Amino acid sequence: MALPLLVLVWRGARHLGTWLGVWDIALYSLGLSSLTSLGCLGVGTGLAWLAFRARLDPRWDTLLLPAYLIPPFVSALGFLYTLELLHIRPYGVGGMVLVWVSHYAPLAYLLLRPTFETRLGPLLLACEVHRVTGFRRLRALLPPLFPALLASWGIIYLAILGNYGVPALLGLPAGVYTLPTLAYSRLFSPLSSSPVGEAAAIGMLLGLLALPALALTPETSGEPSLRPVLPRRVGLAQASLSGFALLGVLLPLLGLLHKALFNPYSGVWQPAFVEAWALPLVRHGLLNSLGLSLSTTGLLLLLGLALATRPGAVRLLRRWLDLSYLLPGTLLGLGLILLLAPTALYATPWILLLAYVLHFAALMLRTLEAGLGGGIERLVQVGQLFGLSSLRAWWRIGIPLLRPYLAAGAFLVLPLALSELTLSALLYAPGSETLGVAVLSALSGGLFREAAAVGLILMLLSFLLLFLPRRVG
Amino acid sequence: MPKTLWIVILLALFQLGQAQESLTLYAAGAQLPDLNALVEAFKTTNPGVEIKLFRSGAGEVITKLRAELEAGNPQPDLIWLVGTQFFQELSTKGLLRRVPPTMPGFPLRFAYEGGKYYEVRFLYNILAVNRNRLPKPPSSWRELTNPEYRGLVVMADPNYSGPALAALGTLTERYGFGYFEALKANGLRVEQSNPLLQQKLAQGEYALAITNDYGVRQEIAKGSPLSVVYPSDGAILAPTPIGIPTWSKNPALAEKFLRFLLSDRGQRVFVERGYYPVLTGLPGPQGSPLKILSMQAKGVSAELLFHFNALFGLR
Amino acid sequence: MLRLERVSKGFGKDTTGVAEVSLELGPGEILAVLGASGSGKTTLLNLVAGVLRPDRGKIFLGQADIAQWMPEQRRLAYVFQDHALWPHLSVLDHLLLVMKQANRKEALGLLEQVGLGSLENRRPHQLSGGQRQRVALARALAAQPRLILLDEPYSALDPVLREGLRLEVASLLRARGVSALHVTHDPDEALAVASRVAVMSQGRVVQIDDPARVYAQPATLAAAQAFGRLNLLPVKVSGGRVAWGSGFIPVQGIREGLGLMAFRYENLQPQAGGEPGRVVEVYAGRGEQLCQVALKLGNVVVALEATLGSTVELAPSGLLSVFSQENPLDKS
Repeated sequence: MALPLLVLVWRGARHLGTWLGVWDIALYSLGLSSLTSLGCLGVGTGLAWLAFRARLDPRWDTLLLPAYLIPPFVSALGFLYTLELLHIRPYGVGGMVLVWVSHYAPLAYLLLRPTFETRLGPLLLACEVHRVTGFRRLRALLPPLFPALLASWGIIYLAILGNYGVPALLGLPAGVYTLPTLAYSRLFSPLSSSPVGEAAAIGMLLGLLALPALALTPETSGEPSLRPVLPRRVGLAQASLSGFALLGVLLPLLGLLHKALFNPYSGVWQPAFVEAWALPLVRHGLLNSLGLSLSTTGLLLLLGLALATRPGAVRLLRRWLDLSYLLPGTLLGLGLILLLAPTALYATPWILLLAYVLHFAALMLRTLEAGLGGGIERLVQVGQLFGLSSLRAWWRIGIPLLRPYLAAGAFLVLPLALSELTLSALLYAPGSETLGVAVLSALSGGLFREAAAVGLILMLLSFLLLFLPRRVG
Repeated sequence: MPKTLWIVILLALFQLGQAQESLTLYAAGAQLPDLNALVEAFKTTNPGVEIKLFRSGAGEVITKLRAELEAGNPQPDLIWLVGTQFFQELSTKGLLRRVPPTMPGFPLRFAYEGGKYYEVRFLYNILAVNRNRLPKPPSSWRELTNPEYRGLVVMADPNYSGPALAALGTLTERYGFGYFEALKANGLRVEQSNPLLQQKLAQGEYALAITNDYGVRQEIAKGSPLSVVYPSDGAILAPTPIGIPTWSKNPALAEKFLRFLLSDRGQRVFVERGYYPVLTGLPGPQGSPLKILSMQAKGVSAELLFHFNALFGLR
Repeated sequence: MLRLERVSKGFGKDTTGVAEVSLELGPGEILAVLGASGSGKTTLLNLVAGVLRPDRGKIFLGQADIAQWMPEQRRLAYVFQDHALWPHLSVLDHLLLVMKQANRKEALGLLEQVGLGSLENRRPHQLSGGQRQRVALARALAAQPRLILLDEPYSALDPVLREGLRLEVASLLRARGVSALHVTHDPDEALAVASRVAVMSQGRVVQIDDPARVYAQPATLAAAQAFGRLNLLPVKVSGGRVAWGSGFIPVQGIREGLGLMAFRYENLQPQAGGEPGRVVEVYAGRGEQLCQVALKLGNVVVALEATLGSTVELAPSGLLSVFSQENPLDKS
């Protein structure tokens, strides 16, 4: 599992000289990712606080979900088109930060809201009863939240640091590089003396910047326990959440729709879906992305079923696989190229399937772990105490109880795999393009309208998953 | 998990494992819809063939191919690039398969090294102008450094785009690197690819572009306010050769495709897509001049590209 | 039926140890294991269930030493404090899953018996706390075990429900002749359900006997403390007696020196010539009054039926024991 990363280090170590030429971009990446993630955390925390104070029903959370479900590069595309309509050019840092905040602030919200309920509910009640206000209230409430805040910051920092789509779409045209786009451009630079080696060295640098944040990832959070706190500023909270949802979803949607549906010059109704569908790239992309995401999910479900009876193994394996999930996908992609380029797997969809399975396994195992941690293992043991064989106990008790967790894992992996870009941009080959690659290729080929059409398809598919029944808890 | 989901997953796995008689083409210098039109036309006479396509800028295609060669696992059955440098390299290593130049009406001088690689259409670097933004365009490359065009001009990234690389080499040869320094001082912007900058040009983000002719013609056909200016100091003819490598798993099919491109049918597809044909006796694309004042593109040394990158902050 | 011979288990990461535990449980007998938390009673239960393996000692179930058997081989049934019901199974399925031969009719009969007559299709979350406990019991009975283990089965229930249910369950178990090992920290529960009580303290069984006898004649201070309602007064034993009020209380066979004199609340009654004291506080109890009285030797609680004045003279109507202060575990 760690082999791709080891190969990357082994190969990159011989090109450490590359670091001398790119240290400024490393610093820039570090600063941009840490500050932007801080901004996302600020916005997300603010929204979560408002929602918590207003005692908004959890159904309001789903309002923010779409903004998170849209793949970042699709949001980037949408924002680009919308802002162009308004004669604003979102290229460069401003646009990147805008897209990241609209995508990851909801993530911060979703991560923090349950923590607010469990941690903050009782504390706030105590503050109100004992009339602790102002700065003293902040001192009573903030420190207990620090671990959760720090952990959420770490997750978002890692996501932004490793994000390829947004800087590729909005950064590169303005000459703004981050480490993932730099690694990619080195990999395809005619001037590199050893493109793969230099990219590997940059990948190592990316890994180094990611390492400190890996230590911050949380284990699992508690169950929400609702406390009778009086609702405050309900209107403000509802307006903020709706406003943010509008910003994060409607704004990019508007641009995509306009671009995909109307002729850019005459403005007449002329949907670009037919042209997009005529491109083999798009057809392959759709088929491959669907195939890959379903196969990845299926394989991971099988893995989950196979491992369910061994919680110790799940934990151990998850710790290892966390590396290939949390570390920027660029590292895994480059590692797999180094490892598998001479083999028959290279340039087939199978290498992508392997990459996806390695990348997303940690997510499935995490939900499985949450299930096993929730007492399912004990209930199976109880079955065994009553004389059921181990196999029968797992079959009749363990697996049925784990099913919602496995389903939750599947619905976590499916949309992410469907809209994956970082890995597929590095590993795709003719015939194994993904939807993400299709968008990017269409863009660099100047096929803006087709890209918008594919972006809309991706958005639609992501939203469809929103309506699938989620039966967790 | 519902049974249907499992069935879908199994089908998906099956789909990934499917194989067919196929041809892998690595291509630069033509856009997806162009390639698609060629492939579809080829398929009408060769049904059941799957053509897998890797399309990108010439820089990316070459680098990807180099990496595959280094790993000992090169993929394409057919290579189509902008610029002859890489083909000369492959030819010296004996990695190109010669195809006898026996196509009727084909000028032999475009069968390079006796048929190891072929020119299949003509691609010119020209000046494109957005008429809405600039009613009075310049008429030569030279004039782009004039202050009246300050902040209006764009070109593609020569690291990525083959035609841009050709423009860099040719114009440096002609006017010295100082020409680009003057352009930079005059606010020249660099976008990743030609199609990308053509879109932005059409939308009025730029007023002038050093770019290829066929893409601009395609945008004009869609109704954009663009026009092509053939510079008085010479449009740049960028060579865009195609060749079959010796490692091709399906050389017969690859040759069939090459011969199709050089057939009357294939050439007409090129013309429809705004390219000049290489076969003699065929008309040029609609609305284009019969004769173009042009110069042959010059190569670019690594040193020149390095200077250019440093000048424009490209990493 | 069940016999433990000098069973020991060392302290683990999350288990209390037990040391040299020996006890025997006859067919149809209900043995209550009473002890405070941390006394090792749950460890004992887990050793019998097979969730833990003893370091030393033997555990006989019938004729076989089952100390090393897997849990599923032991044919036991368990009733847990948190019920440990299977959330995805109906009440009836709980029974059918554990029956050696799934028999619907028999299962429904059993449900009728435990008072779950019409609830066979409910899921656990659709039941009340008491009903869940009944499901847990019915599941245990359906397994037709040689022995039922009950681990604090009523502590999640409210006190009133608890009192009714435990008597009902005890008589049901007796009626079916099932042996049961019933672990609890509630003295009332131990007294109410058990035919014998084993008191555990610090990993050891300190006394096994008839419930009434363990209550009235605890073998050690720990055994005395396990039932609560205990007054302890520091006294000096000299010449085989202890000074009390205007006279003495004889305490035969007890070592001279400092000791702790132990009474149950109901064992101190007002009596002229007893130890004088001042009534500090009066509490209402169930069917009695509890008075806190300050004696010269220290504060005591007495359980009375009548009200007291502001002062009182108290004399023991029954003395548990005088425990030596040097080593309170040993009866001197």
